[in-house]
Amino acid sequence: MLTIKNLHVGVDNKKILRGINLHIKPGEIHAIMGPNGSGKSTLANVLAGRGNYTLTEGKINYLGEDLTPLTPELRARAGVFLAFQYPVEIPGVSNVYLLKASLNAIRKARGETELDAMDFLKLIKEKLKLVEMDQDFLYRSVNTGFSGGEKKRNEILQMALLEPKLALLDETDSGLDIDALKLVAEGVNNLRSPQRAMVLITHYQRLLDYIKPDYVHILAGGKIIRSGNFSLAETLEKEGYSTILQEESSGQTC
Amino acid sequence: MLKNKIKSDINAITTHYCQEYQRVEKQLIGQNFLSPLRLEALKQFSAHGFPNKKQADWKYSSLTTLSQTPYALNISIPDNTLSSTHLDPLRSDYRLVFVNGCFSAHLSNMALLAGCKITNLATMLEHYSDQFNATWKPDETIDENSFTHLNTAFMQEGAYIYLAANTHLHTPIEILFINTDETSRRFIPLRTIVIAEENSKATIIEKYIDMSAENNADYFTNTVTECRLAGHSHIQHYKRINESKLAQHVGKLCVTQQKNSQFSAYSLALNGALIRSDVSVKLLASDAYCQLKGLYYASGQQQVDHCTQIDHVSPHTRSEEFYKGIIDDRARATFNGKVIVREQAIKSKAQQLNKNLLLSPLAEVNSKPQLEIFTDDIQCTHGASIGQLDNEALFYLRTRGLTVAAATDLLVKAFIQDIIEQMPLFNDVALPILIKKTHENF
Repeated sequence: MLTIKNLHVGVDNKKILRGINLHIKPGEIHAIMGPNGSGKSTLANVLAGRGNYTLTEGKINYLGEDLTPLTPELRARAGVFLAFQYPVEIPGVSNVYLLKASLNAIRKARGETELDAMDFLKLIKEKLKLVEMDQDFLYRSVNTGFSGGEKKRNEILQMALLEPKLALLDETDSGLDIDALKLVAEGVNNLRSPQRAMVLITHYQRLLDYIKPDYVHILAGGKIIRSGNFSLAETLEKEGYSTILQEESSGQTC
Repeated sequence: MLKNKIKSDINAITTHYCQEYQRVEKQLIGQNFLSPLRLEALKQFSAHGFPNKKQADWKYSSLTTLSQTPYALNISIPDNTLSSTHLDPLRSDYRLVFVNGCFSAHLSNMALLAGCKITNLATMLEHYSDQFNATWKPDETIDENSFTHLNTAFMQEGAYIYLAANTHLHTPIEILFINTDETSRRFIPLRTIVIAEENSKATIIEKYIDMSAENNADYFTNTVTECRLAGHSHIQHYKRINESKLAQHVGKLCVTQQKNSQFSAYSLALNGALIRSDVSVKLLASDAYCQLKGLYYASGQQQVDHCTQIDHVSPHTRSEEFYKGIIDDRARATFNGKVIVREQAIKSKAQQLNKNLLLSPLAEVNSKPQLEIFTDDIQCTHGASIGQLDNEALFYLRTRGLTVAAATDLLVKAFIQDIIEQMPLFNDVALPILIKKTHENF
């Protein structure tokens, strides 16, 4: 589904990603872990099409096509979804308006009919249950005055509604208490499907206790320095990044 | 060299309007009693010409087109081709329609009301000059400048509204100023006079509409609206400017308020090459309250300027002012809001806020909030902001599948939502940008 080859990305002449290789198949869940500043969020944002990055080298292939020339909206319409680390507050735009506009833009791109207000409301009410949110949540301005947990649940709600093929969750666990974390994880688990791939970007193993990934990658210094299965995350939690980083650098010098 | 050119422009343009006056002098209605006043106004105008950029209030307003174009008065040829089917359906008991500056009786609807007068100005001047003279007090209401002088020199058409004490109008008075003329460079001076006696209530809507086919007729609308509010009267005044793309619109609203009166001005400035909309309110007696609300949208090469002055003369007076603007392309906008609180005006409250959204790197806005306070024990706040679309919000919306146009549309709607909500009869406003972008989407 997604193949990233030797991806180099910079911002303002500063190199952030220095040769990322990643291959993701439908149905898989990949966790990307790594210390602060390693480039995790950059990777997610580059995949979603954020504009202020320069791609200097490498390729991103999504569903057999080059992803790089596509605008963020075309990527979204092709099934890429980014759950933001910091969901943006948009005062004056009601949540329900955005959800409906978004769903219909994406349905249209998929060749499906647009939903009218009635059908949409029926659908969104079902999805609200998944994240245990009240209906009045729909009529508040997008993320405005939401608590940290509500913002993240709103991201999961959007994901549940838009049914992406490739979901990128950028530190969706950050700022959540345990109950909210469980709820978000449950929401994500409900969306697991053989057709859908997910990339979880996180600092901590805790999220991975609730959402079991198929693969774990460790990103440091703009590169994936180690990949493995779930046990890698456990090792990491026990020993911290420094041990692995040391092993890695000594391994390189030998 | 340039200085001489400017000087010759002033001479040329004042000479032009003096010649215009001579040309139409004999046809002007009410000349038997108005001619001294008209001549004095013309003299005042001739002495100064149009304002220049050295005058603080006109610093950012370019009057080049106005100073170089010999706009000519149309005195007697109404356009009778327009029928009521061309207009929005009548939703009110009172409608006055002016086409190309001339009153159009067949399109108008004037229900009779005991003790009141709702009619066109020329009718007043011609048939009810005594009542007109008894009620009209321009010296008290008008805050003079070159444009009001020019207007007074040529005033003969517009609306005249006299509300007798205790009259409450339940439907708005709608005044439509329509242009249908395609080509001629017309000068359209319009004078609207509103006299609200004790405890009267009414809503007045002024709409400036261009209905020419190509929407690029070149004409000059010069308006003065005078509102005199007696004690306990309530007037709501709406003004929507939707002129042609080449039109020059310079308007001034002058208001005086007595004890416990309430005045609301709602302004929507949309189309016109130059829109200059001035408001001057004098809160002359205690507990008078005014609110000025406005939304402007400027695109292309448009220039849209608002200049307001609220003068708190008496104690316990209150004013609220809130204007929002959206400036796109290479357009320019100005907001110049002055609040004066006089020595006697203790315990007065004034709030002023102006917010602007720039949609293009070449768009320009100058916002100048001014407070002049001569007393203590008052509450005044003012603020101004100029911003751009939030790139984070734009990206967020795009990752949810919305095009740049749709996302912009949504953010613009969000930006204007609060001001729109505060202007009840403009709730259904469709900004040109929203119409434009919607068309691109579908």
